[in-house]
Order: sequence, then C-alpha cells, then structure tokens
Amino acid sequence: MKHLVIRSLLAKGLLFAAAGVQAQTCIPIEVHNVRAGEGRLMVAAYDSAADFSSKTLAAAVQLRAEGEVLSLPLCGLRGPVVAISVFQDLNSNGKLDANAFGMPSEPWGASGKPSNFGPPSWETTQVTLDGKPVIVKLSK
Amino acid sequence: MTQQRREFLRAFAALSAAAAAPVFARASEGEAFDAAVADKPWLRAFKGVSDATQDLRCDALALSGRWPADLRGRFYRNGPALFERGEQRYHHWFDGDGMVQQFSLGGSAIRHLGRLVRTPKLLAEQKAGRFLYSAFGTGIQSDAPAQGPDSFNTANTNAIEFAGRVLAMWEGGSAFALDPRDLSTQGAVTWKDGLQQVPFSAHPKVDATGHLWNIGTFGPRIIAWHIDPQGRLVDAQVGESPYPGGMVHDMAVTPQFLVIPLPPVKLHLGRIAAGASAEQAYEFQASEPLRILVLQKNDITQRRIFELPAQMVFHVGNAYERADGRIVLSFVGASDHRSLVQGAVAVVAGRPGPKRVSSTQLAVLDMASGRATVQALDDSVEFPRIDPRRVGLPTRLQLCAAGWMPQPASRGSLFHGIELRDLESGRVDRFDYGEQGVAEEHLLVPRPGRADELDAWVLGTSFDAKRQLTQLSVFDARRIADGPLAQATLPYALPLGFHGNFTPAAA
Repeated sequence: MKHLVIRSLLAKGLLFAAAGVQAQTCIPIEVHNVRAGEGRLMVAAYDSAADFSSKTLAAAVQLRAEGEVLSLPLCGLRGPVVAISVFQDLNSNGKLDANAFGMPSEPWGASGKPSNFGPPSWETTQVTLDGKPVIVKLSK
Repeated sequence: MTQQRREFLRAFAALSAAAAAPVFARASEGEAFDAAVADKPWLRAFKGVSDATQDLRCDALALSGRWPADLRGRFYRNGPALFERGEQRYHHWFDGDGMVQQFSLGGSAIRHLGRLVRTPKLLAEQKAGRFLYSAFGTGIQSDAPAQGPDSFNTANTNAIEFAGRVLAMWEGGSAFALDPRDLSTQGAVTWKDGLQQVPFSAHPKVDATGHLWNIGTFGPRIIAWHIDPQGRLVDAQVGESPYPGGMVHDMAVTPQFLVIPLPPVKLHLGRIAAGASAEQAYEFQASEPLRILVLQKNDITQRRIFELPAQMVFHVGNAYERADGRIVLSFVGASDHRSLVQGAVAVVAGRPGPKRVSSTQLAVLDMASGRATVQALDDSVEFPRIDPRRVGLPTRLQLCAAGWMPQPASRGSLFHGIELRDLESGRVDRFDYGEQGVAEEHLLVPRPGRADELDAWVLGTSFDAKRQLTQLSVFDARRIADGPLAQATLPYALPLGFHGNFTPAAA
C-alpha cells in the first residue's frame, strides 16, 4: 500500500516535470546495509550542483534504523536530478563521526557511484529520476 | 606431507603442463598467467596461494651447512600472496592479500609457518567467492562503498614482532596484530580512540632505544606515530603534507627528526575503481622535485622541506645527524616510477617487465641553509637494510638485493644476488644466487654480544626457480662472497614477498 502511494506521487511529479512546472515531488528511496536497531538514519537530498556544493538541502529525513533495508519517500524535490547522501548516526550525536584524517567512522553512503577515496561529489552522486527507487548502499 | 602442501605443489606442477594446453579465448586470468609463465620459471612464484593453501607449515626444513647455534629467534616476512579468485586475477603485485611467513630458528632446527592475514577483506571475499573491493592496481565492481581503508586493507607489505605481537602492515590503513605463537590474526590495531583506520604505514623504524616511529599519509594529511617499547602509544601528531595525494612509502628516523622522502608520484586513487590502469592512475610528475620532509619528532609543526631533482623513491636505508648539524640520508632512487606502474603490473601477468633502474642515493640535508645535495652510486639495487641497532645513528654498511650480471630477458629485473656495501670505503661484498635464483630482501642480524657492524649474519630468502622451492640462507657478513654458511630448504615455494624483520629469542 505504502509503495503504491509513493508510485502515484512520483508519477504526478514526473508529469509536472514533463510539463515544465516547478512542482514538488516525492521519490522512493531504499537504503541498504543498515545496522538494524542502531541509532538513526540521516538522509539528505540535493537537486542541483550549486545546492550540493553550498549544502542547501532540498529535502532531509531522519528515521530510526529499524531494518537492514529501509524504504522511504523523500518529498520536496524539484527533479529531474537528485543527489542523496546518507549516514547512520550510530551514537545519535547528530553528526557523521570521523577519525583524525576525516575518514567516516559511521556507516555512510550516497546515490550514484560514490568513491572510496573522498567525500561524495555532485558528479558521482547525482542520479536521474526514472520512477524506480533510488538505492543507496551504506558502507561495509 | 600435508594435504595443503600437496595442493600447493600441484598448483605449481600444473604450470608446466599449461604450455602445451591451448589458450582458449575464455580462459580465466589465472589460466592466462599459467600459460605466460610456462617458459619463465622465475615468475611462477607470482602465482600465489589459494584459500586451500592459506596456511603453510613445515616443522623441519631440510638443512645444509652449519647453522650458527646462537642464531635463535623468529624471522618474519610479509608479501602479497593471494592473487586469484574464480575467474579473477589481480593486475598488480601490490594487490594480493598479505601472508606472513615466520621462520623459527632454534639452533639445530628450523620451522616455518605461513598464514594469510585474516583481514575483514579476506574473510568477506572468501565468503563471497570473489573479490569485492578495488585494489591498488585492479578495478573491482564493488557492491557497496568501503567503511574505510581497513575494508580493503590487505596487510601485505611488512611484518615485525613488537611488544609481544606481530604487526602485519600495509600503507593505507591499520596494522593488523597476529599472535607470534601461531600467527592467528587478532585484528586491526587501534592505538587510540579516534584514530581508527588512520594509516599506520608499512615501514616503521625501531630506534636504538626501542621506541617505534612511523608515519601514515592520506590525501593532504600526514600522521607521525610514536609507540613506546611496551607497545603503548606515546603520541600521534597530525599535520599537512607539502605534496598532498602523493605516494609516501618509507621514512627514516634520527634522534631528533623524522626524514620522509616525498617522490613526485601523484596517486589518483579513485581512477582504478573507474577502470583505469596503474599507469593512468599513478602519475610521475617529472617537473616536481623529490621533496625530503624533515619533521621534528616532538613537534611536527617544526619542519623543513628539502628539494632534490625528481626521483622515484620506495625505500630508505638510514638517516643520521652529523656533528655539523647536517642529516645524511641513504635511500634507493629511480629516474621514474616504471617499477610501480609497469614492472609490478607485468610480473603478475607473467611478463618480465621493463629494465630496473634503481640505485643507491646518498643525500646530505643542510638544516641550516635548507639546501640538499645527492650523489647516485653506480649499482642496481632495492630493499636496503642496515644494522638494526644503529637505526638513526651513523652507519657504514647497507645491505641490498642486487643485480649486476646479465640475465635472460624472460626473467626480467628480478634480483639474482645480494650486495653489502660499505658507504664510506666503497667496498662491496656480493653473493650471486645464480641464473635460477631470485633474491628477496635480506637482513643484517647482529651476533649476540658483539658490537661492530660487521659482527653480523646476513639472513634472507631466495626462490630457486629450477626446483620451485624457497630457501633460507645465512651468511657471515664479513664474507658474503664465500656463500652461505648454511641453508634451510622448504618443501614448497613461497610467493615472492616484500619486507621482514628478525626478533632474537630471549637470552
């Protein structure tokens, strides 16, 4: 039922986008490799390169890490491209912890093809919305 | 003979049959290697072990000659050892999973134990039945991003027993601790909370007072580690590199300073995962200098950067402070990085690779003026080692694996001998393992109760390509050309490795 709602919202969003209307849309997100039951999942979305570099959020969600795969709708995007960045706040301190070299010490992930050798960039993270869920795999 | 050993020998035996077998278009990369080395017995030692041969043990090596009764202790070596899973074979020598070799020398008997380091990467890939993470020179489609460098840490470069545990080290992540009794893997070493996965590089130096110094680098950052003789972290200082993203492999230590060569090799680390070759990912910037970064040990914000003409550097021999305040640094340098992006790629594909060009370099760093000079010696060497009691102190002798005789083209640049050089007099004492021999790194092991640099044994491994076996040899450092005092032969070959260290038995 939940998935049906998401799909219908997405379909509307795509229709608006196709019509050139600046309308908000929701997209389905799937986050994999969640450490179930540990802290909170922090999801952030950006919908332009400029907003990505200035860290101006298009949408953001926090939710409890209740399963190894979490599905959620993310609303407030203008489409048709999005970059999603996720981390699991294991100790619930509200930030992505890192070691002395700035390497994340909590699970992290991003849409697209994140590099293991630096923070996600707009180029590697952006994905074009096509109606299918955007999948983000957390680090292992 | 154990089942594992039989399987390991069978793996080598199969290679000779591979020459006659047709090479199918869909042959695995491992089969392609087997075919390529069918007529190059020297390169077969790059085949590596498998999950079935991840633990090798021989309780009594075959001995010849007179093993010194007072040479007792544990000789460790480490190197990339597992290169293949399923249809996949790594494309670079540095990629293989690390295997620590331990030779226990007990006077009249010698035992060997070799075990793959059970890193999280190895365990995950054994479970999956395939490689999961891109390596230094091989792009692998990953299922998920890495939590940090230890997700793909192979612990494959050096091993040292220190403060009761064996540290298996790699360049880009944590050291892994192993139990010296059985080489079982205890796990990644976190020296202090907040420093998880911060690189602890593969060339630590233990100074004359028993303190261990190391560095680690990633991107713009550099860390200086200081561990006391009991294995406790004294200090970890984080600073900025003057050449961000460069390859930093080794360092020297003096009473006051850490001395770190920064060759002009830029590591574009993300490119391999995107499908680039090592040559495309690792760039020699010939217009940049070879920087020598000198950090004051107790405050690394106090530093000097010396500039020398561009050179590739993997390894240092030693550094020491002269009475006039100048630092003398010995290292092995090359005119470019072809050994990194061509040689180390060729050998694991079963090709001989380009001609080696590395030679001993003696630099003098003037701390007062900031000027540096360097003198190149006319030799062809790598893996420089010195008297371990004199790390950071004045030394004359430097021991290297070396090549000086013409060799068959198909054996490439593999070293055929060892060379002990007196850097003051220029005297060189050599031993040639012959056309069938491949010399690995050898060590100077001081004789108990003696003080002179020459009061030492030379201890090291070599690969006998004719018999496809690994041998351990011991020499008198005063008479290397006379040949080994004694040898110990394994009933199997070990993959050609990198570095190691000797721990004397407690008196």
